Amino acid sequence: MTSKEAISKEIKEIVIARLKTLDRDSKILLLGFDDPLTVRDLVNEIEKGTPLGRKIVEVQFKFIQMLAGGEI
Amino acid sequence: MPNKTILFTRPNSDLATACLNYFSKNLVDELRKIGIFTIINIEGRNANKEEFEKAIRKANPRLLIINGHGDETAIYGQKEQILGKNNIKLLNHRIIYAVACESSEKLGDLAIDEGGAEAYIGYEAKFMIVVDPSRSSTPDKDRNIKVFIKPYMALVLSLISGLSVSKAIENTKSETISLIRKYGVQSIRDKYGDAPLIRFALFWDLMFLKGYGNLNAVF
Repeated sequence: MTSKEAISKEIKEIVIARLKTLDRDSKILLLGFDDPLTVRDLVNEIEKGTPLGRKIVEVQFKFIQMLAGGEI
Repeated sequence: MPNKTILFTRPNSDLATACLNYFSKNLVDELRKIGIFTIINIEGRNANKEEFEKAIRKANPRLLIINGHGDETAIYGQKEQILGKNNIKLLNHRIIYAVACESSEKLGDLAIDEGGAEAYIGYEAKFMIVVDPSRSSTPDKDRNIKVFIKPYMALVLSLISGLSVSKAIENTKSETISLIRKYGVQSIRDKYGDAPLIRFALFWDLMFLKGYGNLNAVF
């Protein structure tokens, strides 16, 4: 595993750990999906490495960075 | 006399479009009461391609608020595609705010380059809303959905107040950041523990909101 791959694996794990702190039955509606998705579904998307899962990791990590930096 | 006509498309065929339909319900009612603007409301079954094209040709709206499902190159009404490459030229000289998933990924550029739109505001990813698990079939009673109306309203009200597209986007981002902060405060009423997810969804919508074309354009 390259260092880049190791970092992205670590980021993915951070994001999953953060999502797992939320109520796993809370529901989001993503326009384009017929049914609402639960937090559990979001974690599954990340674990499977789907395009949506990758996007969630990207945005959630940026969100954590901005929170940590006091930008939000 | 400047053109102060606004066209809304408001399909209502599933939970997602019911939420978007609810987003603009009060806005359409209030704008009609004010009387300054001509409001064209294409709602429910009328949110079809024929009505959409007819309304644009007849009333020549300067501002289009398009709610509905979408993909990279098209936006849908109640059942069918209402805007795509084949009728993109209808956007000529108009300002468009599209709340439709991923619609700005390619459609934003297409609207400007091929459609001749003056400005296009959309989302580069699927628009995200957190629903109240106990009210998921009744948007008007869903407290979580109400949070997501605020940035939407900020954008539309900024535009109709005569602010530029870039200022409208800036106001919407400010409103969203202020909501993210508000939902980070422990005293917020959060019966179902949804506040952290609401913050994430607001941030998601903030990240993917994007303007194309002439960002100095005004309604």
